[in-house]
Amino acid sequence: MANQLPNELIVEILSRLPSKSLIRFQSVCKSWRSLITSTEFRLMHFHNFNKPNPRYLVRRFELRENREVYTVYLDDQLFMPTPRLNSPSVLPVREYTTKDEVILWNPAVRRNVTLIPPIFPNSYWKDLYLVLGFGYDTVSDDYKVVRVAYDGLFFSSRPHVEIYTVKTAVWRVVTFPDDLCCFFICPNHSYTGTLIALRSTFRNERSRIGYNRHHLIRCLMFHARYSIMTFDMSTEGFGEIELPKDLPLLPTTKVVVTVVGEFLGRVLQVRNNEDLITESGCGDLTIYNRETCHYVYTSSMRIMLEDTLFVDRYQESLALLDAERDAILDEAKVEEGQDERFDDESLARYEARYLIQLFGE
Amino acid sequence: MSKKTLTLMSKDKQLFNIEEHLAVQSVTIRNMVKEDGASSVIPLPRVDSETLALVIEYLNRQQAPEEDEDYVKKFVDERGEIPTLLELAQAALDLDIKKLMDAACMKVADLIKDFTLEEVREALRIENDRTPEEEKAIRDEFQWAF
Repeated sequence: MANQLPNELIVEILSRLPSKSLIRFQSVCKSWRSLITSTEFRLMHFHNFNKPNPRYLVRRFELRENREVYTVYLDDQLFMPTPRLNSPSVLPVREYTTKDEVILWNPAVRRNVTLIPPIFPNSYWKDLYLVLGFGYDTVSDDYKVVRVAYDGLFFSSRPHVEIYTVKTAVWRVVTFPDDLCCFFICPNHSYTGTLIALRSTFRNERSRIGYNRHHLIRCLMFHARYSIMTFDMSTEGFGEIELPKDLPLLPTTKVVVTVVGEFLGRVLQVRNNEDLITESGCGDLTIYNRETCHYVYTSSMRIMLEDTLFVDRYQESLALLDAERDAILDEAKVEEGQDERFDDESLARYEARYLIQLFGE
Repeated sequence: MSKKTLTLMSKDKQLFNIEEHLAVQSVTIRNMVKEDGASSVIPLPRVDSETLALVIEYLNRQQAPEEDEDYVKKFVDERGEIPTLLELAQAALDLDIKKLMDAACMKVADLIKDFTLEEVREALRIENDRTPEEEKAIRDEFQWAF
């Protein structure tokens, strides 16, 4: 064909397309297929597509549907939700068990990988708490999962840390530093960009999503002060960032609770225009504009499981495009399994709790 | 102090004058000016006169920095034809004018994102070297995207 376009221009244009179009366009010609599946292109697309298309991923466990619901919101004037994502797992509340299951899920290419069970089992301690982190290591060009397990009853025991690398598909033990005296760790939801949703079906599950090399975990130190614990995905080393000494000491669960305007809310994210995305008392998402001191409700009151609301930037990536399809959790099976029936008893129980919260004060 | 003017020459030998301080938004031109003072005419053998006129119009814009983003977007929106946008994107790429290149490529991407495979091939002048079997294999694997 006459007058072919230079490759450089083609790459620039394709790297600005949504993942869904790119998946189709693998069929355009042979060179496009090898381009789209290459590492260089994956990284370029991650940068070029997501920067002008800021979005947020919101997860909550909705009791009416008895399952986790993932929605993507546009970071525009209206903060409009786009159609839901079909998550690979549809576990009802009562099946939130102590299964050692971690799933890596990339909603942009609809691929998920169930990781092999970690070395340190969830059942080891009665009150085992988990912090899961996900990140991309630029040095080894690999995605990594970090899993920190610690004893919720006896805080003196050392946390167990393991790392999973996607390329090797095995867990590896990492030593937790002796000089980090860890009492309680809560995951920090703010320093990351979304690439792949990572979830575990463990009942104390806390999931984190990220692309950044540095993985931050907020932690309460033994000497009754807060600090930020850091984990570098490339060097696999822990670090610590001190916080101001005069920071008032709050119960650990209240660390992220902030008074904004007239509401007591939990700040989940800061938008590009500096509005705050907060969770008000009943699990509702609200947007707070600091200049006008104005609140906008973005979601109707829905009944959801406590502490399941989660917001992070949603960034599309072609990661896992070459992954083997997960036999256990195939998309088709998930579609079939979408049983809309919900448990009346558990709903009544949570409704009661929810109403008490609403009218209690 | 009089403003220095540069002369750019398109593929079809047409001459365009532009003030130097505006022309150096293009990193390519800036480097040329630095190297040899560029006293004479700067030839741009890959850019046709229509496209160069557009590039000059863009470089001559008098926008406040905070409105620049919207201006660039509007500028490419008004040239919504894919062939024009491709020429513009190519010129911006060659001349290394980042914002214009970003905007033009994004506009093309936005226009083609829902195209069928055949429409994409036509728009971006790609030769189909896929057999129907190969096409079907990808379609079967990623049914949800089609």
